[in-house]
Amino acid sequence: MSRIITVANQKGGSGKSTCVQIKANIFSQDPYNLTILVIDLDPQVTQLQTRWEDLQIYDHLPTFDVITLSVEGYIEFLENLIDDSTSNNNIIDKGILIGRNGLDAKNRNCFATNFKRIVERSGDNDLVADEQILYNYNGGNFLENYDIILIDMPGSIKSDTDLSSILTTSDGVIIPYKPNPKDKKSTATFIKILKSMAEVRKNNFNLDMQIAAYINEHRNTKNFNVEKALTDDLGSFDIQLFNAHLRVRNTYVELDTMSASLFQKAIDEMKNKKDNNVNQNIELKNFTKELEKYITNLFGKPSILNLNLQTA
Amino acid sequence: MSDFKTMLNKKDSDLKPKIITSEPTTQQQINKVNNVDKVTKVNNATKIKKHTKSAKPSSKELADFETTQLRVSVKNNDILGIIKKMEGFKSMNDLITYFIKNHKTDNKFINGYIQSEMEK
Repeated sequence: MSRIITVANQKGGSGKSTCVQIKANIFSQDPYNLTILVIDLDPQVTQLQTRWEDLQIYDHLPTFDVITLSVEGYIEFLENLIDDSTSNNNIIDKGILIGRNGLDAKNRNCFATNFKRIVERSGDNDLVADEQILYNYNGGNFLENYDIILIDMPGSIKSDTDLSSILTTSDGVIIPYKPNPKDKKSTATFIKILKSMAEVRKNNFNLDMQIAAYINEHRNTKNFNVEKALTDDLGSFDIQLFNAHLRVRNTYVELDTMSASLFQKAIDEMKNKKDNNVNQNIELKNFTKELEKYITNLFGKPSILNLNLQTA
Repeated sequence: MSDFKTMLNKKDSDLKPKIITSEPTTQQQINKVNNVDKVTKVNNATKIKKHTKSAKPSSKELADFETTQLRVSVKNNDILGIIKKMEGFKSMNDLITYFIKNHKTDNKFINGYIQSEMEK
């Protein structure tokens, strides 16, 4: 069964896309090997573009799928999903998908890409494909193909109802947080909204929402205490706080196309003491461990997708 | 299959199906009118009561509020619509009122949204 995890913070530049990329890369590989779909709702189509470019450069990449959707398209999909599980609610028709094997999709019996629609949205001619790749998808609940559906939220959404739609239907929400006074205020507001959504979800669907926050991109150095900073700033909200942080975000953006398991690589490099980025690897290892716990907790509880499957 | 994935699947295999009807039965609709607690709350009634600041407003309260304060148009394709169907709220306004009653102090964005709609 799938779980929907949304990475969200209404504060722009908080590290949402990076978090999604790290997570998709790590958990689609050994030792996890989960099947992952990234749903990119950001109109900047960062996830799709990055994936598209990576697939052209690298021979061997972690295997996960990326689909970009408009917020409206995603909500339409959700509505159909809950309304009528038997209808042919094809998410692919609502967006652009790059299959896990990307350009080899045709030969590997994989999913679809429709690059013409990328052009319509981004206006970037470089994204036009030579051909439209056909796919082998026979309807049904597309999301059942995946263990985890990762949603990359846009920095801002015009409609509050759209925001609430996405959040209320998320089984888990992860909040990247930059510890400074300005971000603290906006993140606190966002968590309050989120808690309200969680309560609505609980009251109406009897489903939990697992909320977690972690520190992303802080500039403090030696004496910085992650646990204390999170507890001081966000401890009053009764949400899960990752005892891990990612200090310099750009470093991780560069890492996300590596073919080896980042988690394993971090361990190996620390053992061999050869790597100059030991701190970075420790951060990544800790972050992965926290994510592992987070994902483990999500399973064994009903999902919004489970609700759909059992709708009478 | 990896050990991790196997472990996750095992956790899910113990999961009991969650059954909620998409349209409330007649008895459930009657219960709504009489402000009887929801079928979906049965197992967690105690917890919810503990965490919820106020109970769902009565139908009279809803009607009063609706006629005097609330003029809200909400798009059909949102989660509020979905919840309404699932939960058996009579109208979108009922649901938004429920939001307001329960989240008045915290949920500024919902209130802000409603305020902006009222000013249109």
